[in-house]
Amino acid sequence: MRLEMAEFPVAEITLGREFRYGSETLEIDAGELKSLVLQDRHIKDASLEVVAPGAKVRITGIRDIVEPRVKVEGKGQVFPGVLGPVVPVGEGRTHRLSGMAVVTAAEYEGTIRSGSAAQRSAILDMWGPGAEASRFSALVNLVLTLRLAERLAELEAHTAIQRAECEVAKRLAEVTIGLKPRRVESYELGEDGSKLPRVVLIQGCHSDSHHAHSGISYYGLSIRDSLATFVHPNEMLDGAIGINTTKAVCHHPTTWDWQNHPLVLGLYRENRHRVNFAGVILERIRFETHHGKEVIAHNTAQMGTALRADGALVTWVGGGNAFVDVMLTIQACEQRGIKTVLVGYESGVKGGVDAPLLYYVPEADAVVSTGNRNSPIELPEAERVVGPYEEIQILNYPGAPVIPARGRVKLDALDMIVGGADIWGMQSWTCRAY
Amino acid sequence: MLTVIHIVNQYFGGLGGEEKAGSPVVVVEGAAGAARGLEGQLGDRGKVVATIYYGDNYFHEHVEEAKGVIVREVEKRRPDVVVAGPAFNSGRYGLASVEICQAVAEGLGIGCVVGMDSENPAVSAYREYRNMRVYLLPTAESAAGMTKALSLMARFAYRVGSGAEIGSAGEEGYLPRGIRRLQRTDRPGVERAIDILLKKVAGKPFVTEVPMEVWDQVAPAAPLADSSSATIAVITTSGVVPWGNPDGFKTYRNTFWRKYNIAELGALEPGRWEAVHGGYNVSYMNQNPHYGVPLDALRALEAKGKIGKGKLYPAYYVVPGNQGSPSVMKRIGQEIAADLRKEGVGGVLLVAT
Repeated sequence: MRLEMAEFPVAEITLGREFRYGSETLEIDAGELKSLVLQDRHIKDASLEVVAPGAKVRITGIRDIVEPRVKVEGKGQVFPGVLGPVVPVGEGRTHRLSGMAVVTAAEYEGTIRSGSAAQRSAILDMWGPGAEASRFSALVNLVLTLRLAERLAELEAHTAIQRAECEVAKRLAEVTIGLKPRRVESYELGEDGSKLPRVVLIQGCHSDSHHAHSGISYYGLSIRDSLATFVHPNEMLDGAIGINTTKAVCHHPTTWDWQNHPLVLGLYRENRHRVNFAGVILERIRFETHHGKEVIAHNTAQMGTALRADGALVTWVGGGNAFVDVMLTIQACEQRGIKTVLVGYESGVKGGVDAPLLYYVPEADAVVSTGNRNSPIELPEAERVVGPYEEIQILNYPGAPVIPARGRVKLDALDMIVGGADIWGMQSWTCRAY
Repeated sequence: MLTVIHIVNQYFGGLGGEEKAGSPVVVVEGAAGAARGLEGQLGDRGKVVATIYYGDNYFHEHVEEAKGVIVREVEKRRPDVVVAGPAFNSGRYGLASVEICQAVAEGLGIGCVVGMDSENPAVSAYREYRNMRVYLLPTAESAAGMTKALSLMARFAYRVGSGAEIGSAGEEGYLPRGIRRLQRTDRPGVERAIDILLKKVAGKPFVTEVPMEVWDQVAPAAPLADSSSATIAVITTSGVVPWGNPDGFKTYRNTFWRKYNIAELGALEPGRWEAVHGGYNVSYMNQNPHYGVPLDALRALEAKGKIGKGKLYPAYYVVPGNQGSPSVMKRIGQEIAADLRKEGVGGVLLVAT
C-alpha cells in the first residue's frame, strides 16, 4: 500500500470571497465555510479568524486541531467514517496544506460535572513562553469558533465539532486540486526479505470504554475494550483516527497529531535505509484490572512477534493508570526478544524532584524523555483573545474560580496548553538530571 | 587565582587515626594534609587558604556545634569554593562531608564539591538535600584512588569557584541529586529514539534518558485478631466528598486530605455526595457513592456484630488520588496514619479507585 502525500505550504491566510491558493497564500471564502458548518442544526453560529505565529493572541476554548487534507487519488476520502462511508484509505494520493491548521474552539459546559468524561478545553498562545511550549504556535492558524446549540449531550457536541472541523479542513484542501505541489513524499512499508531490522510502532491508547466517546476512534468508531489492532500508518495519515473533541488537554493528541504522527513519519524517513518499518500496533490501554493489563501486554507483544518485529518504539496516550499497561507491554516484548524504546513525557512534579515516571519495570532500560508535562509556566498578558471564552477556568473541578483570559496566567502544569506536552517526540524537548 | 577551603577528617588532616577521632574542629591556615595534594592539583588555578579538619566521632557527637564552627570559619575567609573529602567508602566521613557542604552552601551560598564512592551511604543524604550548590563527584572506594580523586575534584572545584555554568549530571560527571529539568536538545525525540533502538537491536551500548527506579514495597499489616473490638475507619482515594466540594479538592494533583462525618448516617444518599476525580468516569460513583465509601455494607457488618457497635470511626478520610505525586501522597499517607493512631483506629478499609 503506497500513499503519496503532496504538500502545499501555507505561510499566509486571508479571509476573502473565494478559495484560492498560490505563492504560499491561501485565500478563503469565509461565507461559504460558514454556511457549510451551519448545515448542522447543532451549530447555531460560526466565525473565522486568522492568527499568525508571533501575534500576541491567546486562543481559548480549543477543542481540536486539524490539518487540511483531501484525497485526490485512491479509494475513500479523508476522515473516513466521520465525513464519509467506511472505505479503506491510505492508498493513492492525498493533498495537504502544511504550515497551517484549523483550530476549532467552542464554548461547551457539558452535562458531566467532573471525572474523566467531563469536557475540557485548552488554550494556545501564539507568542512568548506559551508559544515556546506548544508545537501549534508555529502554524498559521485558522480559528473556527463554533456556537453550539444549548444543552447538547457530550456525544452530540463532539459530533458537531468534529464534523465541522473535518468539513472545513477538507474544503480548504480542495483548493489545491489540479495544482502542482511543492513536494511529494511517498509512504510505503518495508519490503519483505530485507535484512534491516523490522521495527513496529506500538501506540498505546487510553480509551474510556464506558464513555459516550472513548477518546479514540478508528474510522469513526470509538475503540473500547479492544485487544491489540494492526493499523497501517497510511490510514493515520489519511485521518482514519479521531479523538473526542469535547476534551483537549496537553498530553492528549489532536487530530493534527494523528495526521502528523512524528514516530510514524520518523520511521518512514528511516524506512529502507536503516529500518524496515512493519506498521503500527494500536494497543488499547488503561484496563481496569491488573489482569486486564497483563492480558493486553501479552496480546500486544504476541502481535509484535507475529509481525516478526526485531524492535519496537513504544509510546502512549493517557495518564498514570494507562502507563502501567505500557510498562507491562514493554516487559512482555522484551521477554519475547523484541527490543523496545519507550518515547514519552515525564510526570515528576515539584520542580522535577519526584519520580519522573509513574511505574517501572526493569526491562524498560531504554527511554527517551520528551520533557515534563508538569512544568510550571507563567503566561504574560495577551493583546487579544480569540475564541469563545473571555474568562477561563484553570482548575478543572466543580466550582473552580475563573480568571480573565486576556490577563497573566500562572499554571502549575502544561495541561491546559494544547500541544504543551511533546507526547510523541516531535520536538527536541527532554529532561536532564541535575 | 581562586581561593579554596578544604575540609577533611582528622586522619586526612594529618592528626592521626581512630585514636584522634574525638578531636574538635581545627583550622590550619594554608594547605595541610590531603589539602597539599589538592593544592598541587589546582596548580596556579587556585590556592588553599585554609584547611579545616575535625574528628570523625567528634563531628557526629556534636553535629550542630561542629557545623556552626565550620560555617563561621569559612565565613571569615569567604573562599570561592569549598572542597570536602574525598571520603571514599567511609560512611562517617562521607556523611560529615555532605552535612558540612549542605551547611556551607545553604548558610553562605558558597559552592561545594564533595567526593566519595558512589556506593557510600552518605550519597542518599546528598540526594535528599538536593542542593544545587553542592556537587558530589564519584571517586574510588579507597584512598588508593586519592590522586585521581583530588585531580577530578580540583578541576571541578575550579569550574564551580570561577562561576562557570555547570550542566547536567550526565554531561558533567557529578552524581544526580534527583532533580530533573526541562530542556531543549539538539535533536527531536523521534530521532533519538530510533538511534537508541538501532543500537539496542544491534547489541551495542546505549544510554537511556530516564533511568529506572526501584520503589518501596509496603508490607501489609497483619490481619486484626478480632475485628469486632477494633475501631475501623475508611480511607478512600475515590474523591467522594459532600456535594458542592466544600474544601475545593481539585480533580488531580491534590496536596491535602480531609475527613467527612458519617456518624449519624446509615448510608450515603445519591445527590448529597459527589466524586471529584479526573481519572475515572464519576457518573457511576455519583449515582452510588458506596462504590467509594461502602457505608451501607459497613453498617450491615456492624448490625451483624462483625464490626463492634459504635466501632465504625465516625468520619471517613479522603483524597482524590488522580495524578498524586508520590512524595505528596507519601506525606498525605503519613499524616492520615498519624491521625488514625491518635484516634485509636485499629483497622482500615482502604478503598482505591
